[in-house]
Amino acid sequence: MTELDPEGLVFRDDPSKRSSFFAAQADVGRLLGMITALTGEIAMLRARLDTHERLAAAGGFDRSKVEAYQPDAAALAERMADDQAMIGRVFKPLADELDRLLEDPVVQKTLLEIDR
Amino acid sequence: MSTTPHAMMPEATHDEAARFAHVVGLKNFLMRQLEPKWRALVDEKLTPQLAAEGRDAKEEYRALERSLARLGAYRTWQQLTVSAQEEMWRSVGECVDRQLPELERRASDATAGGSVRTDPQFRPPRYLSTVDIHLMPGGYAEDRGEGDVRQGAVFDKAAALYHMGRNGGELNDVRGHTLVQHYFDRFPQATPQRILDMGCTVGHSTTAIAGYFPQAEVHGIDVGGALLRYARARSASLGASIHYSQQNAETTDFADGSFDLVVSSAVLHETSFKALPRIMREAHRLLRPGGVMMHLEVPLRFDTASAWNRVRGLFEALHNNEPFWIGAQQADIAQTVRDAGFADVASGYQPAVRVADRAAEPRFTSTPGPVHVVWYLLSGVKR
Repeated sequence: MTELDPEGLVFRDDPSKRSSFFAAQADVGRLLGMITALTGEIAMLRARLDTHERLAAAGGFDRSKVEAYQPDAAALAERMADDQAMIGRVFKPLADELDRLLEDPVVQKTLLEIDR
Repeated sequence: MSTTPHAMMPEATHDEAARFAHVVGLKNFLMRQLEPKWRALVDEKLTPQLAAEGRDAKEEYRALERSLARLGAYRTWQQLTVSAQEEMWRSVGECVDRQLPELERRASDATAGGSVRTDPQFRPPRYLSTVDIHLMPGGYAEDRGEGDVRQGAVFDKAAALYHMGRNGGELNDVRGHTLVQHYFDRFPQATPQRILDMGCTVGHSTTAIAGYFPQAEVHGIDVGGALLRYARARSASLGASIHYSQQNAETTDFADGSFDLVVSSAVLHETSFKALPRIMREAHRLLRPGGVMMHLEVPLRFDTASAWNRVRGLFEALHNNEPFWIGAQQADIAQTVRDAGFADVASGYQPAVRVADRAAEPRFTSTPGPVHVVWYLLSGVKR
């Protein structure tokens, strides 16, 4: 249902349910949720490793120094760039498919066969 | 541990801060790397092809959305966008729960400054209770009872991530400063004595506004007790004494003519066609003659939105749980303000500012701009 109701509101057919973009293959949706969480864990581990490497370079550290470590602006920028590159690698198949769709007149024609 | 901008902001451990930074990075990737490709496909490839057949993609955006949803890649993009939002709430919730007793202790200790009045009988309106807005588990209204501040802490920390640094960082107060700049642009001499912020959540804008008028009595209303308890302690730790109460902006319990200034900040798009005129009439009732009402909103209009922006808007409405997202962009809100009896109604765009300046050259304009660069501002005077 995508029409606004008389109060101008629009809800999913069953608003109590979680969004399901893969209704026929719910496992795919769940799998994407798990991959999303997993990239967060990779990012966290990378940040922790980065902290270790930077503290090691400064000479000597223990767990408390790791916990207390505050990356400066340059370190944060490096981490953000690394993170974007990691995300780009993990989700590359999706970006590639989008690039392909943009150059695929056959699929585009199919998309325009819409029931009005 | 990270440093925090005020005493109530949850502190993040090394690993929590890394997870937060990654959620922001993931949202950034989805918004800046992938979404432009969908925009190009719809607005640059499909729209002209439809136009060649004499059809208007903007008019057919619902059918286009159904068509796109047949593509696995589109469903994957939708799911990842939802997953990133859910991951934000999950990671922030985990961080807040780890330190919730300490946050509640701080909220109860912060005795100096302001007040909170909750109402156990209060029921939020349908437009806020049917779904959890922005997918925030529990929505704005969730309250575990006396002393609970969890929903406020989760909202405050997540909002700083959600706006990705474009709304004033961890204080999230650019919209409050921008509202005051609009006030100064239109009424450079004004010195309000009593101010009301409708739909204040944790007082991001309320606290910023209060800072410009230290002599004023400032009130904030919203639908959740846990939000409001957190808001009071947050404002107090930033040096502002603000009176928060749990009320519906359509029907408050303040006396007629109680305020010189009534505002809201990005609230109207969370209401409904029925609520809009009621909120305007209530603001009119609450103002003394000569008082000013101002509403800040997202600077998006449905009639000028491209086919992709309409498809994206439908996604936002249905899957980020923003039921009035499209309705608000279609509504003639300025007319509801005139119908409520306001005079000198102004409707346009206010460039976002980090600090308002009473002496600044007015920059309120009829020229639209991108979200976070400008905000839509609507204001009127009660005669």
